Amino acid sequence: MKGMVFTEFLDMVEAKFSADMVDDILDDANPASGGAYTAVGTYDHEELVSMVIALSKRTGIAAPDLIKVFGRHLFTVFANNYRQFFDHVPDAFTFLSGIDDVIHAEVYKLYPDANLPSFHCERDGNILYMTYHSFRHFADLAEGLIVGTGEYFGETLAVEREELDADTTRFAISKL
Amino acid sequence: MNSSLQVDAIALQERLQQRLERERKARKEAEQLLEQKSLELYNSNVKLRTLADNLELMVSKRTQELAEALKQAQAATVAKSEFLAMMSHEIRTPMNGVLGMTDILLDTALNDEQEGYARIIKNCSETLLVVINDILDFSKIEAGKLELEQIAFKPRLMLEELLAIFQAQIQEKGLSLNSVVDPQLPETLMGDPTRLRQIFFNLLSNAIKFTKSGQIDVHLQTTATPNIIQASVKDTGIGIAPKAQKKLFTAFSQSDASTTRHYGGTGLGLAICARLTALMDGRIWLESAENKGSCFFFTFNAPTGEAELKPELSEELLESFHDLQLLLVEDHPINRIIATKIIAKLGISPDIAIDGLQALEQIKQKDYDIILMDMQMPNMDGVTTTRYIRAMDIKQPYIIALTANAFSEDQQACSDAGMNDFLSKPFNVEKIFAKLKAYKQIMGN
Repeated sequence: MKGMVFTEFLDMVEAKFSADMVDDILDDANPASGGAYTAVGTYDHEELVSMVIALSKRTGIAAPDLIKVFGRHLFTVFANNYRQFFDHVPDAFTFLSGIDDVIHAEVYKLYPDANLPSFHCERDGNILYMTYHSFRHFADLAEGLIVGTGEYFGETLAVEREELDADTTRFAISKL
Repeated sequence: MNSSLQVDAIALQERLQQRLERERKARKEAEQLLEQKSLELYNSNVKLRTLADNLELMVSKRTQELAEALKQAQAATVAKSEFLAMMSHEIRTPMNGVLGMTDILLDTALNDEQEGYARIIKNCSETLLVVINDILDFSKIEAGKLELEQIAFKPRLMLEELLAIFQAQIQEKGLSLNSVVDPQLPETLMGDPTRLRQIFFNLLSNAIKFTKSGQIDVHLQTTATPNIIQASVKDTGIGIAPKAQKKLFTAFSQSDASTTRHYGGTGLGLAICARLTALMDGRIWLESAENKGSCFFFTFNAPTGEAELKPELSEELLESFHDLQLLLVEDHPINRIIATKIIAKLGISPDIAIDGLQALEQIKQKDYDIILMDMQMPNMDGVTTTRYIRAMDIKQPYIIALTANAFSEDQQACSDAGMNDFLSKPFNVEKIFAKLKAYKQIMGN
């Protein structure tokens, strides 16, 4: 998993809770990488899972909720750091539909070895069906990102989930 | 005291916090910089790859163009060779007619005036044939089509015959001729006597042509190098200026342009000699002084040969030819007459067929010992006819191809079709005799 997800997660924990909390969950999770993450590195996604579980224990907030919140936060970071991807993009559906073909294509330019999730999109009237497929099982993160996208474009999106199999979740997204 | 410690601790914490922020900021800037550089690297890689692809495309396009050009050049060479073979045949056939018929005409009862005219026709024809042969030979050499023979010949005899040919001209001009042959020179050599004769012929006719008075010396000797023979032809003629000597062996160039007007010639003779000597692993050069004379030297590779008897027109052999059943297949009426006359001199009266189809009809009626088969004929050519004959259930005849183009490919086609031998035109009694003798020897064995 890309290092940026880790650095942004820890930044968020520090901002929302404290620097001490960051130290605590790193102590709890004791990641193999030592917790010294950089955005341009690649790390085992299990380290993120361990840290989320540690945070959940310490805060009493359910892990899926934490991950969804993190997803929304992560989106604002993307939007700040990679403005060029938002030029001429009119709305959330257009942006979401282009993740595989546009965003991920750019990621592969920088990180040819990246192992990215796929987001297969299909429009059916006012509903966008987005099928998330990844062995990392971060459908919660995906949901947070989808909601974050809506927020960025000033839209309120209703997101329904249906798990097709262990690696695949289908989101039915509609504008409210 | 206590509160001052507390103040210090807070100040320290703030400083540490600031340091941490600076480090974190530096890290984020470094990360951004790295991504930016990675993207630039990616883009320049893409450009390079595109460039490489284009280059490859261009190389493959150029390669294709070159291959196409090569194909065209090869096709042109083939066309040139075919044209050459064709012209060789087309030009020599009527020339053979003119020469052959002039000979026959001279054998008839003519008055003095008529005989004079006929002799002039003969001389002119022979001169023309020399020019034609020069041009055809040169083209053939240039096309890489000339193949040298490797047969036994007697150099002394060859020289004698050559000198005999020029004897009349030498006497006419009041010149004297002197020939010296190295006693060490073997009796028989292996090589191409026709082409050697051609070189000598050229040098001798040049020597006579450019000499008004004095003498011509011909030398033939062995050299320190095994199998390399050196020959020279020396005259006391007009000589050649040093400047002109250089381009003397170049095609279409005589020592100066006025030479052609004064002395005639194609300017190909010495160029052909130079190429022929090169083909014989030798070389040609000269020593000359203006108004004093020239001496042309040349060398050639000729190993010592086994003594071989020249076919002689022995009565006994001639007798044995009389019973031969011979079919002459020839479409050209004049060639038919000439061939018939020549064959008649050997005591054979041949049957005649004017093309391959007629020949097949006649073969069905009668068994032939020998068929003289022209190569190029209307209706059915010699090669095709031979294939038919070889497929027939008859007493198989001995087939000799008659061909105006003595190219090796043609000879190959003849033997592929099942012909036994070939005879290049123009032919004479000696040539036909030699072939019939070879037939007798094969049949005898």
